[in-house]
Amino acid sequence: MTHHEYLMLLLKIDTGELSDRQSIEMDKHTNECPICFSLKIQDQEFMKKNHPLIIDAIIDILAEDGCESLGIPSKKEDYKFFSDMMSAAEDNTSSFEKNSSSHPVSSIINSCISPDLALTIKSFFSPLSLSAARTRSPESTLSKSLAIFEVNLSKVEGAFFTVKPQVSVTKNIMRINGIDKSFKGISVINLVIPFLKLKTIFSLSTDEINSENGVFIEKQLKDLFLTADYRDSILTELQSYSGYLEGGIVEYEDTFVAEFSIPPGLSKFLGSEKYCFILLIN
Amino acid sequence: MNDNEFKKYYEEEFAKYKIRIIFYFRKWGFSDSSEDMTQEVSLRAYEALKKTSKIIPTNKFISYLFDTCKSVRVDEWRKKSRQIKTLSTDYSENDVPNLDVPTEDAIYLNEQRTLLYSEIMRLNQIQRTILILRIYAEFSNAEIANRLGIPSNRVRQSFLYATRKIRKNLERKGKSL
Repeated sequence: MTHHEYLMLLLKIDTGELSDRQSIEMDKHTNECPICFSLKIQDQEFMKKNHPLIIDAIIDILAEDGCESLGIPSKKEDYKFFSDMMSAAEDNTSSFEKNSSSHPVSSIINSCISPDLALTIKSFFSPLSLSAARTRSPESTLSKSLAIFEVNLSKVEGAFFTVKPQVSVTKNIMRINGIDKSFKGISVINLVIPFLKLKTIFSLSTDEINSENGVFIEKQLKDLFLTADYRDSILTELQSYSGYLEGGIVEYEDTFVAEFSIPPGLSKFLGSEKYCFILLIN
Repeated sequence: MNDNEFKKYYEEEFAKYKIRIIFYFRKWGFSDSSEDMTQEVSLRAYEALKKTSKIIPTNKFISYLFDTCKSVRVDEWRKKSRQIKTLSTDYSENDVPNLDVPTEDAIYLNEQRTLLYSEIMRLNQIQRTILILRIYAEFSNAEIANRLGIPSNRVRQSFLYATRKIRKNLERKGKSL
């Protein structure tokens, strides 16, 4: 291929008419042609010299247009997300709180953004012992609480949530423990978690869960969680799936806040819409 | 509204959104600096809004917060990318323009950036994406090919063509940078 032929093909890049075979031939040409070699050196010099400025320009582009391949939203999409999230702050009595007001855990979990979303807290408990909670000693391996949510994924994909306990860490743990006792009286816990593959641990399917065995399952989970072998495997399992939930637990002004978002397309990826998932709270 | 009254009003308003702004920044990946960035938003928004000294409608307040958040986020993005470059590249001081510079130089660099911005925007969508993935995300040709579902030869050629086009266009305008 002559350099002139190469230049002709180069123009096809703009129009998207370049065939695979042509791009292979072009590759071959650029490796052999002295003119291309010299131009390539000039291009590289230019890119190297202006690298920080090019990065800055790209950042400007990303901030405006986003980049689908990198999962960066455009300014318009970002504004929608931002304003939805901020508008929810205006509505202190979100439908989430209204829906959960009769639930015993509503006293300890008071905040959930996106009021129109189908997120229901089904259970919130802690396997912590009071002494471990108070001391928060490094050897305390039980420093985890669980919140269990039932989610219709197709309705919450792309959404962003926060779950914020009302009181300070220590008080909160004590209160959770206080409620923990009364949890035995709660009869409905839809707890089987194909999402987290915990199904295999319980050997139960979603259909098998009902209000009668809910308490049993809750107890089983607690027992399992308190047993070192199972606890480690559950934690490993949860951590390996944490990638599906973008976010984590943050400490904010003396309070632990769970923040997470559910990636778009997750229900398609997982092949089902309804899931329960567990949120670990330190 | 006098200054003190406005300050009180602003603090109450901002407090409603503060935690959500922290989350917003965390969602963007600024886990370590989210609280500092929120503080920066608070200060910048206050400085700008105090001139009005009156109650701002909620939608305008949110819109203003968004613009401020975006600007703080872009600044942080730049800072972060510069830190990464400093750690991972072996440019000599002469190779790289110093971007922490006095005002007049900053204006010049800003113009250069705008020029580069418009040249990159003149590329077609696929070339632009390849450029972003190669330079910003530092993906290899094979990774880009895999992500975009096109042969890596085409990625290589498109990247070469895109960089050459930018350089040539700038040279044509007498701006070789």
